[in-house]
Amino acid sequence: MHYIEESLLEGIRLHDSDTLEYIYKKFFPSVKAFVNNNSGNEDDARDVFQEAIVAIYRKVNDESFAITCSFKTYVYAIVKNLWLKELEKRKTSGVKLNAEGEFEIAEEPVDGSFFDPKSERFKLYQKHFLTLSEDCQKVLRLFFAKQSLQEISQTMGFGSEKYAKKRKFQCKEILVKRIKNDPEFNKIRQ
Amino acid sequence: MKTLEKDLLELIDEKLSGELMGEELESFEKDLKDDPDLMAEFELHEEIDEAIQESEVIELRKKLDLVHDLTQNKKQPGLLRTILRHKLSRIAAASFVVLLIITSVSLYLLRPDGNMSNDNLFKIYYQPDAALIIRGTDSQNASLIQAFQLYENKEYESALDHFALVLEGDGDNIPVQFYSGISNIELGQYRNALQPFSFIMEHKQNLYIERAEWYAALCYLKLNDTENAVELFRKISHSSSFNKDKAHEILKSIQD
Repeated sequence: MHYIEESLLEGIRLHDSDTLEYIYKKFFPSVKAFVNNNSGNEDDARDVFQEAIVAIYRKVNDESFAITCSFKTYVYAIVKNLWLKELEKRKTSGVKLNAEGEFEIAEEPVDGSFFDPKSERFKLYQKHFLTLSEDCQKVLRLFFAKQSLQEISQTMGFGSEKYAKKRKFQCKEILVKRIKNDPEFNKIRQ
Repeated sequence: MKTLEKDLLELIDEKLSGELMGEELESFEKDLKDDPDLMAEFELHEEIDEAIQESEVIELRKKLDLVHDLTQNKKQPGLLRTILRHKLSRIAAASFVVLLIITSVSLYLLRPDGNMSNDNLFKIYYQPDAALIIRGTDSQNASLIQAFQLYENKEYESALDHFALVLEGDGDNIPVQFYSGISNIELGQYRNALQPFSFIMEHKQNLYIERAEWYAALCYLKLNDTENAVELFRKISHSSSFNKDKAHEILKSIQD
């Protein structure tokens, strides 16, 4: 399937499976090679590529958002900048990116909000949220969807509202503990 | 600290949930001002809550992980790869769902009163889709822009009129079909909403199929057409749709 630029952005906005699969197949191999060439490994490439897509997703819903280059150049520019930030954070000495080919020309000036420290903290919090049990994720999701404790209790099959409240508290406590125990936590709090 | 009678984390939780009242609230707010460590802890909890509320971003992350594994991990077990591909074997996907049900069976059996009416399920799971951003200001787009502005302003009846005008000249416009479906739901016209969603589902190769299936299933739920609702939710729960977990939850509630 061939995708035009606008439909790639719309596909990201809609979480469309085929679009996301296309984007991974088409662009991830170059991202992996770039990160590998610059002191990173495959997991780093996976992380940085995911962050680039999430950053674009956040932007796509903004009416004033427009890209003036190709989607490929845009993604690579974000990846390049995100990876540079990561290397600086890791205090890799004399950070100078080895950017060849498509990454060399990926110089589209990208909005500073792509590199917001808050996004980085959210990434850590959300990563740990996804490690919670399905049950815990659901309780918290229902709670933040403004469901009453009675409704949560009913949906989850808990015996009482009191237990729903207790369970929600326990799940949040587990989440906070996991976040605090992550070595990344102290780095991003500095 | 005056507030030591209760666990601090409990107090933070109650303050964030808006449950802390009266003297307890005053005392806690004073402690927050006086104690920077407590304030830092409170702000962390507050920010975590904010991050969890980005449910669409969390769903996207989940999906990106799946897509990454599907496209990059060549050694992935055959069954999992099959499940991840929504277009492939339904039998394997069904087996996975059975497995999921078995693993969560203890929780399932412990539910004393899990029965939810179709109406309640709809209320819990339905949320209208944010409006499409139409870029460009050329006259060709003018009526579209106006239609989406009306939709954004929740003027669904007028939005529907404008969507209908666009569809007269461009019946295959999938986004317009989709948002006229949502407008119909917002107006309580669930049966009318099914028409554009069905059009999208039958019109292959478009970006709105997953969402159309989700909203059509919710419409069937609202119309108490449980048979059709279950059929669609099953399809969604076997797919890689970002609503698959929610579909699974609804199926569990319906089948209780």
